[in-house]
Amino acid sequence: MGWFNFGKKKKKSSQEIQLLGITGQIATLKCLILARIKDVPLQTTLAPYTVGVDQVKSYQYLADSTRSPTVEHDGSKLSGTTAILTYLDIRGTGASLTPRKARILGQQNYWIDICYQVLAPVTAAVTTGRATDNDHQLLKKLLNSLNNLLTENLYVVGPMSFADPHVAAYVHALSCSGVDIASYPKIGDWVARLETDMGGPLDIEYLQMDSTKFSVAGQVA
Amino acid sequence: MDIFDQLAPTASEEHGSSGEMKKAQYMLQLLGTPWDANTLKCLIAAAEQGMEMFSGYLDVLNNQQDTESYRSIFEFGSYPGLKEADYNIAGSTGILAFVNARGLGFSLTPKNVVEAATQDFWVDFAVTEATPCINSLVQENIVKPMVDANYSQDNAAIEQARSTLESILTDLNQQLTGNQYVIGKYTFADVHWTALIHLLLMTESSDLVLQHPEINRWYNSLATRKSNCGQDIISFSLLPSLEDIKNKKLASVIIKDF
Repeated sequence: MGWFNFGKKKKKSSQEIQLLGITGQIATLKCLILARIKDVPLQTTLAPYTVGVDQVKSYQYLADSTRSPTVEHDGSKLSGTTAILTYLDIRGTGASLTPRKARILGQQNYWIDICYQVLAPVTAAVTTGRATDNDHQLLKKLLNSLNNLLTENLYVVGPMSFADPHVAAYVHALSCSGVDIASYPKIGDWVARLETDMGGPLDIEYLQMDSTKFSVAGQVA
Repeated sequence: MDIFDQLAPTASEEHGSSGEMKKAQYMLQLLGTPWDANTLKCLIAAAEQGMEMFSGYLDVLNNQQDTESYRSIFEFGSYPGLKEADYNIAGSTGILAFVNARGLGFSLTPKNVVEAATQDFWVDFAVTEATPCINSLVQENIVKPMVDANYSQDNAAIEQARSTLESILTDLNQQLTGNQYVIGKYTFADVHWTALIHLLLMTESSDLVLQHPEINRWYNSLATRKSNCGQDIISFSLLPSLEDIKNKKLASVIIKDF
């Protein structure tokens, strides 16, 4: 399964964490964004578009049955966005992104749920050019809701939380696919804020997204 | 009176409207369905954390989640939905985290980073891989025949789900070998898998579970396991029977030994 030989105690290691991902995969992008926010050095290997990209699930299988994204550290592995974000958050600098207040924690997870259930399928449809009118309407509703939320909050649920790298990855993919994010000024402000926190742009150098090369997992782009 | 008060009214005389405030008197109200694994996870978590929760059936068979009364609270119609006084949250991910943080027991998320990430992987595995298959079987064997007595099952969908589940359950059985619970101690990974295995056992594919001794050992042990919060309640006892599902009946979490 996803874990092999992890020790029971947290050990400080000078070894760099290795990330295996897929170019253009939103699940991979979430890991890269969080690593930048938490200042965690990663040695990243990206499979090309040709493996096909699943933009809905938190991980997908590569041809050799490994999962993407997967991180390897000290000879051990873990897979899937959820586990990797938890690991990077604790391994990184500063306070944990997990909110301490129950209501904010609930809101954080609500937005993560919305990402997987609503935003992910719509983003997959838009980035593959298969979006229907209903998809476009739903996307507009989502972005309006997010824009309104960010009118009141600096980050998605108030303080910076796990909701931010999740939402940011989809917003970036949508932006790369031609969705006019500038129409949502508060989202634009929030992206700028995140980029400041990350010390660089969301458009991470080796993960530039090209909507013309997106495909459905299992199909060759 | 909102949709929560209509469908999941609180027993206000007995619980919390009079007398001193206790943490369990925040009075949660849950809307969901008895065949939805996410709803069952919320019931389990509330019982484990000693949070009283009044449950009501959300009629998703007639798209009640898309009605104005529900959408005015949750704009994307996601469910299950939870209400605590002036706070509302939808989706099991948010509800579980909220109940866990509000509740009386120690956190169901391990503090150790490796254990927390291991838990997250097994939750992810449950949500990403097992849930679509089990949902498919529940729909084909239970829900669709409830709606239409003459429904003819989609055997291809059933076979596809069974085939995928065989390897998933083999992995789970292997993980439980040597572990009392999914990752050793009781965590959210157990909450997720309990709901899923419980529903799978009520389908015509229960044989997939019964052939795995470690899954059976773990599942049966939950039937007598006292709650995480130490109060006299067994979360497992709140899970619906097949009759409950057909009657669209959800249990409420009632704490008696304050």
